[in-house]
Amino acid sequence: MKLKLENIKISYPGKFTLNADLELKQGEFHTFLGPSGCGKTTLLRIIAGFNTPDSGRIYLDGKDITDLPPEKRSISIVFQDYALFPNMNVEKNIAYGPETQHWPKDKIKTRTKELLEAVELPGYEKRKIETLSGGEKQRIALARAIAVNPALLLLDEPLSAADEKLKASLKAQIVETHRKNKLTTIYVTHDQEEAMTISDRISVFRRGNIECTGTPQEIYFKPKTLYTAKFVGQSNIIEGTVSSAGDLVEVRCTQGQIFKVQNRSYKYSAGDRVTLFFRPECCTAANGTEDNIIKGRIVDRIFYGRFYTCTVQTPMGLLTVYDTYPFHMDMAECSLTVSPDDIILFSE
Amino acid sequence: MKETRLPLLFLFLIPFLLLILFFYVPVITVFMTGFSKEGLVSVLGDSYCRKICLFSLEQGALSTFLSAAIGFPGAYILAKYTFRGKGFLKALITVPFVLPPIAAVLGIVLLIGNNGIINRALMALTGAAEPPLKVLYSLKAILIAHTFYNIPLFIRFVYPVWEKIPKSLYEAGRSLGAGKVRLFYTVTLPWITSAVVASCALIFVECFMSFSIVLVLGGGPQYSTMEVEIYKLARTTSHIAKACALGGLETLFALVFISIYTAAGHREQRYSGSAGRNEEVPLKSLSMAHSIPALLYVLFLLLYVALPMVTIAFNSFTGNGRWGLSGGFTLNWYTSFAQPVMYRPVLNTVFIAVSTVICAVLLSLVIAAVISRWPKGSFLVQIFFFASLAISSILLGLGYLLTISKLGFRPNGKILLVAVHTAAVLPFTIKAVSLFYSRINRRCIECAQSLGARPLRILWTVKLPMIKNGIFTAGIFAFAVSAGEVNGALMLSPEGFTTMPVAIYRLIGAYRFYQACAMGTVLLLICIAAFYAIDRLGEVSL
Repeated sequence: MKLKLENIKISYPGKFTLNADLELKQGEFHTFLGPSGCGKTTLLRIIAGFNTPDSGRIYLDGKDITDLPPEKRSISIVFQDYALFPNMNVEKNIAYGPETQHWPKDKIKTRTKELLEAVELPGYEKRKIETLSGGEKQRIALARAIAVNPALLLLDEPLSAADEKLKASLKAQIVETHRKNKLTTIYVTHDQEEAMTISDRISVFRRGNIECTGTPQEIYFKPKTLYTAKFVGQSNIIEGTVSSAGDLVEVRCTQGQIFKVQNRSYKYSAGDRVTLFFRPECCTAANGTEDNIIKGRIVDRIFYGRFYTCTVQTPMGLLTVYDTYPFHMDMAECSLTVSPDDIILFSE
Repeated sequence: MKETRLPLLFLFLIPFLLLILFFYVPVITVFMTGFSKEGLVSVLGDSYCRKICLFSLEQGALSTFLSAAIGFPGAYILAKYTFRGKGFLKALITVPFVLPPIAAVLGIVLLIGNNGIINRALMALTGAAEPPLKVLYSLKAILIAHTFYNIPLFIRFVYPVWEKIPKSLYEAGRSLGAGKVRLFYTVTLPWITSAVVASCALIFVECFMSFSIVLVLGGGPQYSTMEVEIYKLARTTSHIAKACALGGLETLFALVFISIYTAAGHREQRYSGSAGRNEEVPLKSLSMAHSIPALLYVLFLLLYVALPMVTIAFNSFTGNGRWGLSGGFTLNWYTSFAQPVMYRPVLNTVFIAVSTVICAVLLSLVIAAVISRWPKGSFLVQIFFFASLAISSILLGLGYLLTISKLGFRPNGKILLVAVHTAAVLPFTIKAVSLFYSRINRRCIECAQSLGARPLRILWTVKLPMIKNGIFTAGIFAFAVSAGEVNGALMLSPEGFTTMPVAIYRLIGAYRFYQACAMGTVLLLICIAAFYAIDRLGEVSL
């Protein structure tokens, strides 16, 4: 089902005001990414019907659901703490939605069995909730949420309580469930890696506003705002002034270094103060013939197995670069380059 | 929350109006009558009334002092040492919490009465013709009964706090050169002061407002308290204004000590954050000079708490005319339950107690729901519904009699009795239900909503199963308290309607002790079973 959020507004005096306009395609896996307290869970709860917006409309497949109570929206939710009913066993938990919708008993039984197999917990029907591990509880919560074939599935930080190993397996489970059921899904997280690896599109939140929406690749390499650039992954930021603007924009930094940047918007002219941004992996060792050669000295190296993260002291300040295997940067003077295509400009 | 608050607020009006009608109107009527010029002059200008006020305070203070002084070593031993039977002792000292006072009175009469077990044993030992121990119908008897109840209460309050003093505090003190005495004053005492003050305030209020113990064991006007005098004035004379004035003054005193209890409880919360666990030492590892006094104390405590109860049960199976040891085994007193005079009180008690359970649980459910959904107002709601803690059943009963006489019609006495019992248990039942209600995971309810469940289905399938232990705890507690309550029953029972505690009171008055014991044993079993059930359901401190 398609979801459309139109001018959603809700204000929490003294905290923040949430503003959201968003459209989700049928079957899309969409992630709300942002730090704690930025409004992503609030928006999720508005979509589910637990919070009422001050203004704006919510459309599910063209139908206005803004004034419908949660039980009539056909939107299922999985919470961080699973929220399984402790007074029911696994089977009863999964069957709760179908029973509420008065499905025939044999259909409920078949559906429960099928879902338990799908989440790789066959034979768990009679197990009590308190006997399940965290991972098992998460799978049952997922099975319960999709049992009624909801129009929309909401996942509120479902992996934040899991350890790294469990996270990987649950993430695979969620992706698999989404792939099989083609459910339009909204996933809330503050974990960038989770968001990058799991999503079709990501919305980055900042103090109640959706700062930027795009595919993980767009968000990472071509962020639309400086906040997104800084929030997602590691970044190198340099201040400068535009000295000329053609197909390539030339930016002079405070220390005299000149950077050539691909002109994407043709909105800059000489004298504009700008901020240059590029990712550490866009920075490579120079052989002396490229544009944008940066001279510096490596002051710190941290080993991550497949690569080193190097901190380079340059006239423009500290930059972060990755030295990938076979390693060729040592703690000495170095000469780096970054392609004009890989640098993004932001107005100050 | 997309949840309308309107139906709940309408539902809330039911307990609100019921409490106004059955609690605030009668209580305010008593205060208005009592604090009139006529009422106050009749009490303050009467030397007998002044003496009664002073005696109420005096016996309350003495009972509190003795309970704390005798209980203090008990709290220390339970906090510091492990020994065989410690679990049993801990369970035993909780039983008086739910033991109806009239049953305790019966047990104490059988133990220390002129013809009681102790006097008979002493007479057999010494060959004396007269009972050597003449304590019944005196201040001593009242103090014995009050300490029977309140030594365990003091220990129950203080030892759990004492045992949570972190071992590291003592180690830090010792490393800085403090000796045992300095450690006691600088570590132990500050830590347990709140618990000691809170328990003493509670003990004082209980003893100050004690009714059936003073009524039976005091024996007459010389040892009468305000509570007993209110009852006598209301039931046997027509000095209603005087009774109301006494009731008003009694409530003022009670409020002062309840405030102390509450304030001490708040202070204790400051310490609970850093609570740890001290190291318990096996008692047998101590030297004889230390372990023998401790063992003797434990033995004394066991006998002091268990003997009255054991005596009741023992006497209910014996008898051939004289009390106690000489009688052979018999089930006569239990077979007498086939007679209406014995079985009717049981049926009446069950009827009143079940009605109280239904009223208290339903009201508590609504109030707990309001408290959970309206956290900002929960303090006010609690004050409104917890006010009955400071009002005795006798005073509330007096309020009913007074209001009825003003209205000119008499409602069914059973309804009034259920109302008195419900008002008495409501603070505890609200607490029990609220505790579980507050733990309901809101996300479970939201999940149920998102899966299409409507409010009634959510209530039935999610909320009620999650709070069922709270409901059972509240219900069992309400049943036990109602079954053992004698004050309201004596004030309000309609003609010919007798509950078990009233029947025991009358059987004691008629010197039919064996039948009283049989009925007392049944009541005792009900209360112990109730307490055991509450303990198993867990977590609610009553």
